[in-house]
Amino acid sequence: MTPAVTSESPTALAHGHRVGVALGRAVGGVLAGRHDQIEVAVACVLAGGHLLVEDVPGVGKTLLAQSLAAASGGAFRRVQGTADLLPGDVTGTLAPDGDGFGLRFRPGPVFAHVVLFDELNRANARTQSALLEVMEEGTVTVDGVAHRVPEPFFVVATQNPVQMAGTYPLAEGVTDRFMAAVSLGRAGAEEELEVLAGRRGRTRLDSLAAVVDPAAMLAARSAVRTVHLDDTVARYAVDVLRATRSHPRVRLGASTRAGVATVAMARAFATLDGRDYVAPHDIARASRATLAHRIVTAAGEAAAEVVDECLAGVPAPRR
Amino acid sequence: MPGRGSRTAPLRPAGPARGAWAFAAAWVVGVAIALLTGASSVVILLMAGLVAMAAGFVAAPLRLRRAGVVGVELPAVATTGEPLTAVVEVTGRWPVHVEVRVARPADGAVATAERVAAGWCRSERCEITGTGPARGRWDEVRVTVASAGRIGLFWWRRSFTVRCDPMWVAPAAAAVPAHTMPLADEAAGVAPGAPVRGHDELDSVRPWRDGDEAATIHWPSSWRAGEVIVRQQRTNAVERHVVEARRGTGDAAAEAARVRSAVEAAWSLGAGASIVEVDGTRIGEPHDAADPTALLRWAAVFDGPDPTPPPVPWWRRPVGVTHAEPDTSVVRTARWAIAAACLAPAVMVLQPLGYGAFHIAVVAAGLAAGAGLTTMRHPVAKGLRQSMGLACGVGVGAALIDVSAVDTPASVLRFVMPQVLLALFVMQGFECTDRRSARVTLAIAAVLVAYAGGIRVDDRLGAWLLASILLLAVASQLVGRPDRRPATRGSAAAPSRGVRWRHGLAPVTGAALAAISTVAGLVVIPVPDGPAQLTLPSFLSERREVLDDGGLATPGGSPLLGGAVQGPGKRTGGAAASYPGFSNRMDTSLRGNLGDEVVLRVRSPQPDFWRGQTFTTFDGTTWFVDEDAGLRTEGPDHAFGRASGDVLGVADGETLLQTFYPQVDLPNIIFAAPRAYRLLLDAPVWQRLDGALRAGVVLPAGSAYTVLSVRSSATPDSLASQGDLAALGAPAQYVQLPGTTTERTRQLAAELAEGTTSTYEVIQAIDAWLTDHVAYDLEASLPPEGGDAVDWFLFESRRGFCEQIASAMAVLLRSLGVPARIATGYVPSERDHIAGVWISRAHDAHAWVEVRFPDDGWVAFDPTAAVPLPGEADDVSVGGELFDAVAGFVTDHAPHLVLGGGGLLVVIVAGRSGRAAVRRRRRGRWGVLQDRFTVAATRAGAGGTEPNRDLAEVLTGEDARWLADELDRSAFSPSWQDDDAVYQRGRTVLVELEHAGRR
Repeated sequence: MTPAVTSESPTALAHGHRVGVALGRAVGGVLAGRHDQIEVAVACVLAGGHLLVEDVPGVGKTLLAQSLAAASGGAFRRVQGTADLLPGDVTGTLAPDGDGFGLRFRPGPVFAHVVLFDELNRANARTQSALLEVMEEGTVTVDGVAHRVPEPFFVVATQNPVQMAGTYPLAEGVTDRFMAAVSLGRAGAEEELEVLAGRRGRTRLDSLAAVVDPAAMLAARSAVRTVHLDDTVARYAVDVLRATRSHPRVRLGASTRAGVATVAMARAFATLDGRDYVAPHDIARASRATLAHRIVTAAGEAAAEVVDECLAGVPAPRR
Repeated sequence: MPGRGSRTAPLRPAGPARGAWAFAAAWVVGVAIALLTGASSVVILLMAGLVAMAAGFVAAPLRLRRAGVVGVELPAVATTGEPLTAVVEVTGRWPVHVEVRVARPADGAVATAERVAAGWCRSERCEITGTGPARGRWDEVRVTVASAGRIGLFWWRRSFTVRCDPMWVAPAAAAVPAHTMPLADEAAGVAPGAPVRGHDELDSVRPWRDGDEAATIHWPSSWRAGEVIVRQQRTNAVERHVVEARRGTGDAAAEAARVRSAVEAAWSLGAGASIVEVDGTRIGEPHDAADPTALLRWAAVFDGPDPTPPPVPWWRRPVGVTHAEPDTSVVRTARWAIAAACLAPAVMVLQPLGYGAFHIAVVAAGLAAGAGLTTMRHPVAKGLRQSMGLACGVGVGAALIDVSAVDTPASVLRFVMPQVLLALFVMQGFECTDRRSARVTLAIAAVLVAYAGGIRVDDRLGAWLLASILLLAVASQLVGRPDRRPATRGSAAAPSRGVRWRHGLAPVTGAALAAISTVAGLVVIPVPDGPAQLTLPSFLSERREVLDDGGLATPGGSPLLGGAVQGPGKRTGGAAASYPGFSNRMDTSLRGNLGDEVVLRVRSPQPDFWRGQTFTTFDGTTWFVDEDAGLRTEGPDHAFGRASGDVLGVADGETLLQTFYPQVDLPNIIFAAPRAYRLLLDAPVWQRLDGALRAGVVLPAGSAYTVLSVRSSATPDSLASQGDLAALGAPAQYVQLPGTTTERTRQLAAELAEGTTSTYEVIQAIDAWLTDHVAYDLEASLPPEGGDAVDWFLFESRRGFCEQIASAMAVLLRSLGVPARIATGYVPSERDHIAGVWISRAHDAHAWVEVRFPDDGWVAFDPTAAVPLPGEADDVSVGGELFDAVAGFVTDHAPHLVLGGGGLLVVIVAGRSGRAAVRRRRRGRWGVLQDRFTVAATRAGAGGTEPNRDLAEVLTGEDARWLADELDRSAFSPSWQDDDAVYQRGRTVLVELEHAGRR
C-alpha cells in the first residue's frame, strides 16, 4: 500500500508533488484506466476546487469520487440527490436542544472534508442553491450564524447528462462553482478485463487507505498556490477566455472565475509534473477541464470541441 | 459530403488576367514605334515582351501539368447565403485557385451549377470558403483548378467532376416564424394544454391563453397590465412546439424558411419541436425535428424542388467582361514596384529631352505620391484621390512644359506633347488601385520605354533598357501574385529546404531562359532599315547663324577664312572641328592631334563614309575647295539635285536614311553619306557643285538632322567591268596635276598600271603597293619647304597619315588620267549595338579618295581604313548585334563583373549572417532554438500555435518532449539558469529532429 505522505517534506512544492502523485496512484489502483481523467481529478483536489463528474451510469463516476475521498483521508460524507431532498438535509438545521427550549444547530452532511453529492441534478434547485455558499466560501449560514466547514473541504458531484427526465438541470451559477468537470468515458477492453477479474473496481475500494491526512493536504494546496505563473502565460489564459467569448457558436462565454479556475488547475498540473512554473500546455490542458462545462453553446454543439477550437485559434506563448 | 475525384481533366484556357490586354496593346504600339524609328533597342524590347507574353501563356499549363483533385469535403447540410467551408485535396503544384461548384440534374439533360466556394490552395489539403447555394439537394461537385503560373498573365484551368454524397441546402431562417403550437410533452407525463413556458412570456406570469384555469389568474398583474395575466407555473417537463408547414404555397423556400425559424426558436427555448405538414385541409402526421441536420435536410427538399429561374436572355444580361483572375487588389509591394517601373521610363524620356535632376525629382515625387496615396492603410475617398492626382499632374506638367520654347507647330511635338504625356502618366498613378489599372500603367510604362528607345541614341540606353525591362518584369509579376490577405486556413506545411531552394532558383532559371530566348529570337530579326520617313528627327538645340553666306564657320559661328587653327610645329590642337580637312584649304602635311571624344552618333542601317567636303584642286602640298558656294535652299525640307560628276539619281539605287546626332559643337558642314538628295534641317543650306553641303547655321551638340542618300550597289565585279576609265576621258579639273609632280611619281603609276585591264585593278594595285611600302605614322616628318609632298611621301619618308596616303593615291590615279578627288569627313568606327547607332570619334576624322566611274559616279576608296564597298555590306541581325554588345561588355568588363559578382555574393552572405546575428542578439540563443523548434514542428504538420508540449507530440520521441520542456523552462521558470551543457544537448536534439524532418 502506498505509504501516507506527511507534511514533513523537504520543500513545499516537492511535498505537493508527492501528495498529487500518491493520490493519483491510489485512485489509479481502484479505477481502471482513464489516467488523464484521474489526473484532472487529482489536480482539482490539489487546486482546492470542487469536481463535477459527468457521464452515463456504470462507468465509475461514484467509484472515482469514493476512491478520491478515501485516499484524501479526513471525514467523508455522502449525499444522494433526490427531488425531495431539502437544503436543511444537506447543510444542517436548527433542532431542539435536548430537553430545553433552545435550538441547537445540527450540522448536515456537508460538514466533512470530502463530500460526495451523487446525482446532483436530481436534487431540486433550492437544494442545489444551498450548496453555493458552502462551495464558494466554506461556510454554512443558518439563522444568521455562519458555521465553518472543516478544512480542507472538497465536493465531488456526479450527474448523468443523458437521462434528463425528472431532473433539475444545473444552473450556470452552480456549474460555475465547480472548478473542473470530467467526463470519464468507457474503459478500454483491457481495463474492463481488470475490473471483471477483480484486480480493479469497487472490490479494491475497501483496501484503499488514506494516503494523506488533512494537514498534509492543506500544506500541499498552499504549495500549489506558490507555483510561478509568468505574465505571458497568464495572458495566454486570458486570450483563451476571450476566444470563448467571441466564438460564433457560443452563447455565453467563460467567466473570470473560470479564468481563476484555469490558472489554479494549471498550477496543479505543473505540480503534478514536478515543475515550479506553469507552462502553456498546463493552461491548455486546464482550459479543457475548466471551460467546457461553463460555456453555453448554441443548440447541438459540443462544448469540448468549441474549447478545442478556441485553443487552436490562440497562439501559445513561447520564449 | 466527402467525395473522391479524378486526376485527369482537359486543360483549357480560361482567359487573360485583368488588364493583360494592355500589354498586347502596348506591344502593338511598340511595333509601330519600331517601324517608325527603326531603333534596334525597341526591337529588343519587343522581343523581350514577346518572350514574356509567350512565357505568360505557357506558365500555367506547366503548373497545372499534374494537377488533380483527390477529394472534396462539403458540409452535409448548408444554408443558402451563409458561409460554408469546403475542404479540397489537390495534387500537383501550388498555389492554384480552386473553385467549387455544386450541380444537380435539372428537368432535362441540362444541369444547373452554382458556385459555393472559391479560394487559393497553397497545400495539398486546403479549406476554402464561400456561401451556400440555392435551396435543394445537390448531387455533384465540380472543382475547377485554375492558375496563371508564376507570371500571372494568362489563366488556364482544369475542371474535375466529383461524385459524392448529396449536399442539402436549406433556406436561412425567416424573420417571421411559421405558425407554432406549444404543447407540453406527453411523454413527460404532463397533460396537453397544461401551462408551459412560451417564448414571449415572463418566468413568473404570462398573458392568458385559451385553456388556462381561472384559478391561475394573477389579479394584481392583470390590474396593472390591463389584460388577463395568469401565474406561470414552472414545470420541469420538456416542452414541445408543433410547427405547421403548409404545402403548396407556391414558394416552398419561403415556407421552409419560416418553419426553420419556428423550430430554431423552439430549440433556443430548450423545447423540442415537431413539424406538421399541412396540405390544404389534410393534416399530416407530426414528425420530430430531432437535430439541426435533420431539420435542414427536411427544409432542403420540403414541398419539392424550387423551380429553376428561366434563363436570362442575352440582351438582358449585364454587360461586362468576366475575368479569369479572381483577385483584383494590388498589394503594397507590387504598387511600389510599379512606381519604380514607371520612374525608369520617365527618366529615360526626360534625359534626352534635356531635363536635369530637378525635373526628374518632380516626376519621381509625383509617381511616389500616386503610389503612396493608393497604398494607404485607410483608403482615401475617390474624389479626393482624383483631385490630388489632378493637382499632381498639373504640377508636373507646369514644371516640365516651357511655353516660351513653343514657336512652330513642330515644336509642340517636342516641347509640349511628351511633357503632357508624362503628366498624364503621373496622374494615371493615382488611379492605379486595382490590377487592371496596374497593368495598364505598366503597359504605358512599356510604351514609354519604347518611345525612349526610339528617340535615344546615347550609350547609356542599354543599361536603362535592361533596368526598365527588369523592373517591368518584376512589377508585372508582383501584380499577378495570388492575394494572400483573406488567409485560407489549412495545413500550410512550410516547404522543405530543397523545395525552397528549387523555388528560389526557378525565377533565376526562368529569367535566364527568357534572356536566351530573347537573344535567340532576335537573331532571325534583321536590323531595322533605319528610321521611317514619318518621324525624321530634325532639330537644333541652339540656333547660331553663320555670317558668311555659304562660307565655312567655326563651331562658334564665326567665319573661317583660312585654314584650321594652327598650333606650334604645324600641328593643330585637339578640338574636333580643328581637323584641317574641314576648311577651305587642306594642307596634307597637317593632321592634328585629334581627341577621343564622341563627335557623331549616326542612326543608320549601314555604315558609310560621312562625307563633309571634297577637294578637287591640288598644288603639290595643299588641296583647295571650289570657290562657288553653290545653290541655296531654305528648308526645313531640302531637296537636292545631282551634283557634278554624280550619275545615280533618286530612282537609281537604294535609299540610305541616316540621322546624325552631333555630340559636340560642329561647324556648319553637313556630314552625310554621298549622294544626299534630301535633308531635313530647319536652316538654309547650300549644295555645292561637288555635292558637299553647308548650312547657314552651325550644328551645336544635341542637334539632330536627317539625310536621305542614294546608295550605289557597286561591287568589285561591277566596278572592274567598267574597264579603264582613262580611256573614257574626264573633265580636266578631275585629272589636274600640280606642276610639282615628279617624273618618278608618274613612272610608279605607270608601273602599277602595267598589265591591268581596268581602273579598279589599278586602284587595287596602288592600294597593295601603299600597304606594302608605306607605314601609317601620325608623327611623320614634314616635307621640305616648296617641295612636292606626294613625292616626298612616296619616295623619301614613306611614312604618313591618311591625308598623305589619300593624296598620293589621287595623284597616282590622276597621272594615269583617271578622274579622282579627295573627300574628308568621318568614318563610323564603332557601333552601339543596343541603340543601333554608329559612333564616330574625333580621331575618326578622315580623308579618302573618290574615283568617278561612268555607271556609279563617285565611288569612295580608302587606302587606309577598311570601309567595305556599299554592295558588300553584310546583313546583321538585332540578335547578333545584341550578342556582340553583350560579348563586348563581358570582355571589356570581365574583372569588374567578377569583382561585382563576388561582391554581391559577399553582400548576400554578410546580409544573411548579419540577419542571423541580429536575430540571435534579439532572441537570445534559446530564442533561436525555440524558433527552429517551432519551424521543425510546423514542417512535421503542426499548426504552429500549439504549446511546445503539443509540438513535441507531432515531432514524436522522448528527446522532442525533453527539448519542449527545456524551452518552456527557459521561458517561464523563475529559477531557470542558462546551462551550456543543456543548451548543447538541446541543439543536438534539434539538429536530429530537423534532420529527421528532412528525410
